[in-house]
Amino acid sequence: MSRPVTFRQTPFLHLFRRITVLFTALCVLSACAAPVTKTAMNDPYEKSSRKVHAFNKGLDRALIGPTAKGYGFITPPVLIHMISNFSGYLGLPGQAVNNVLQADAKGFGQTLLTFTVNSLTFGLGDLASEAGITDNNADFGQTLHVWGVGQGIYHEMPILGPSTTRDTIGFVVDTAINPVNLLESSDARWAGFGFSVLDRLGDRNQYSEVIEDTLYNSDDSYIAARSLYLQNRDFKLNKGAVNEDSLEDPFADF
Amino acid sequence: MPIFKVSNRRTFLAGASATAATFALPSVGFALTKADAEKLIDRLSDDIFKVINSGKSGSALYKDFDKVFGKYAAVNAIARTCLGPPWRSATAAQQRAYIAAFRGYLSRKYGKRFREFIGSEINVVSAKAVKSGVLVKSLVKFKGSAPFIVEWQVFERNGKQQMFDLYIEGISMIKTEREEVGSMLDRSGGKVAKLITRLKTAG
Repeated sequence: MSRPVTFRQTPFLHLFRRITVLFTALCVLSACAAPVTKTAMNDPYEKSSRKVHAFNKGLDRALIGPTAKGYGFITPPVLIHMISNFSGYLGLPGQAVNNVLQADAKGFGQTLLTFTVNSLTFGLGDLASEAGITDNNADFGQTLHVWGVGQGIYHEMPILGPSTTRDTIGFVVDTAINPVNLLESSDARWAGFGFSVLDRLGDRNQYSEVIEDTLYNSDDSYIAARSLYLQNRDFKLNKGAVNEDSLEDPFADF
Repeated sequence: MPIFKVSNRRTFLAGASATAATFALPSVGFALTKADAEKLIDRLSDDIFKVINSGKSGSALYKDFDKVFGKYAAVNAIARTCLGPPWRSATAAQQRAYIAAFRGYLSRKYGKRFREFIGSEINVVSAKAVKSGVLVKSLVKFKGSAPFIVEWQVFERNGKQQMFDLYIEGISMIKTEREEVGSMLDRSGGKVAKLITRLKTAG
């Protein structure tokens, strides 16, 4: 008789997986950022968030940045890609759950197809995106948005980086429903966690110029990071397209 | 002649729509079709990729990038939008100096940014009409990593199509630079002259 799967979760694991959010936020861009007016207002704890931001910057400068560069230096690019692909592959079942919760049949089809195709490489290759299958990156924060839950308060957390109330709740739920974290073997859970950390280190290394430009060359890196996070988040909530309402007006007169 | 057989009602409708077209002509977005905007972005991204794949770097790269920027982008409108209301209180000479400094800053900063796209491939995917023009979506593909989306906001003024804003994974160049210029202006004590000096070395 096989033992039932136990639902063990270490708070430690939660915390560390959240590092990934900081990196995601910092990595996608090619520009720093500015606050979306309506969201910038909702930052009542800016003063304490700024202190956390300074801490995170220090951590990046002293530990995360150098570690990422070391990782990028010693690891062959092919292996970095495989690790990144595999980490994304492990996230697909959780993504499928969110597709269902959002009643998004098309997204579910994409996720299923991506999973099926990439399974041919045991998750190490990304044949799906090479074949032009769009990935939807659904998460529980997005699901809450679809359900009509508001964004809440913007905040920056130690190690974990920029977030909003809705996204923090989303992160916790995503971690809880990720099948890797439901495995009984703690070795397997740690391996899953390890892959996601390496994946983020790879991103931190690949986009180091842009990230460092944002963190260390912006006139105000707190505002830059906040705006970058919120703009990119808005784009993802809008299923990978700029929200038309947020477009700038070329004929604006001052 | 068939033309005389057209009913009164149809003649009226044809006349009315012709009148409407005459009135509509000067308005924005009427003449700018999605296909036109796609073509513009096709040429623009081709030119950008030529520059970044030329192997140049530093000031030579920024100079080439500045040329492309000047050719396709609504430089004045972008500069003005990033400065916001202080634009109004600046003197004409300051406005000119600000535009020149801003343009140099943008070429350096985005020349550097686009250079990271080296070895990738960019393709226009689709376009849609928006309030003040057309939004063109393109996909940048890097070997071995997930593709990402760049969207270009194109509008038309005086019969000329121009790029206004660009969004990389939803992050707007104009929003970003308005924030950046805003905090530079704050640190310059609100003085546009000092901001111009800062801009000349930034990016």
